Amino acid sequence: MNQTPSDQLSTPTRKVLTVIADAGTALLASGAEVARVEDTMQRLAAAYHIEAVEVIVLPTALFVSAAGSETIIRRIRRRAVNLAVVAAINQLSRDVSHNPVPMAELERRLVEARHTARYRPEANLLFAAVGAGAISQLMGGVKVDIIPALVAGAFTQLVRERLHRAGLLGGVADMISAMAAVIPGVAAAYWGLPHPGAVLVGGIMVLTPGLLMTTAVRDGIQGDLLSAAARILEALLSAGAIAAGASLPLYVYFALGGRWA
Amino acid sequence: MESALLSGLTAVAFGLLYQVSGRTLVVAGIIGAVSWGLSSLLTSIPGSGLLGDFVGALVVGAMAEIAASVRHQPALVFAVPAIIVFVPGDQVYESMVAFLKSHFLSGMQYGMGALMAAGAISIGLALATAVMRPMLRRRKRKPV
Repeated sequence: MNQTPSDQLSTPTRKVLTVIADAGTALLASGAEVARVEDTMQRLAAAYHIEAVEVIVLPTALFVSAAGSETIIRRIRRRAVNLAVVAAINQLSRDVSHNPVPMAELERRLVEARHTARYRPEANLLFAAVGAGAISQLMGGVKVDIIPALVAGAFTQLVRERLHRAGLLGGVADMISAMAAVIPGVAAAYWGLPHPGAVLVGGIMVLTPGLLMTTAVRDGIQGDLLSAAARILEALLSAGAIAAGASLPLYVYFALGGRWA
Repeated sequence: MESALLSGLTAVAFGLLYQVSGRTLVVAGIIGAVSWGLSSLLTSIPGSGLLGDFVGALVVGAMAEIAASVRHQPALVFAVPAIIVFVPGDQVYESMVAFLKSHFLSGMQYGMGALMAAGAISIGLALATAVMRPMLRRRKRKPV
């Protein structure tokens, strides 16, 4: 799809910048590292012949500015892990930098990339259940522990997804989800299973901020210190909220004199 | 061996949960299994301490970088599902239960253990990425 130079020049810079900002926003909201977001945006800008583009990306906001144009600022409020979106937009920017497509086409493919491969919510329940079940076995559980661990994984994911849809964010959501995650473990202890801990850990692992830890490390070695620090803090806060939420049902259970293996 | 397979299964399940699909998922599962196998081999050596965690994360990071450069995808896609099993969830749990039972000393002990393990994992990941990325990039440029 070859365009004449005049065609490319006729694409207004502002329009291109908006699309680039959209791509960056989608990447950042799906959990990509800062370096990748900046790199992708720069690459897209270069593909559409916009000179002197400056991009600044923080974990909660991004700024794009080109010479002789306005600056576009985007605020990122909601974040959810979706590695499919990261991979799809990465692929899109790769394709486009080899072969710039018309703006409308890029926009269409961007929208497509933002909605790629989302599994249905019910499927996510199953994945979380299997993950929790496998973890319970790795953490020293016996075969029987799989059943409550499966329940724990699915239940935790169900609660988390409902909270997310209801618009509850951050620490509070983590805390309530962790409370839900512990309940099957407590039930397992009540019915006398030998390793309630394995069940409990299985449920809680569904909530672990694994992505945050990984991106924090990767941001740090890239030199994006602000983002690394913010993400480490977020991971710590999230872990604290999970521990607090998980402690409450356990505390009540212990206070009532429930047995624990 | 069985636990390595379980670790692979965990990586696949969490990969699915993070919306990864297709062949990427298989690669993530293999990374999860290999790294856990190596790590548990090291952990079984008496007195190895956190070496298992460190090497496990190192292997995850290195294999993720290689997979990323071969399959032209972000390294995150491979690293995140595979690293989940190394999160010291059991120690955090032990620490929590100990605190709730007012066994503060052992609670602190487990808590510190968890923090140290998290540190070992972070350093392993960071080191792998910092070393592998320039190496892979140079090799790719040479033929051009």
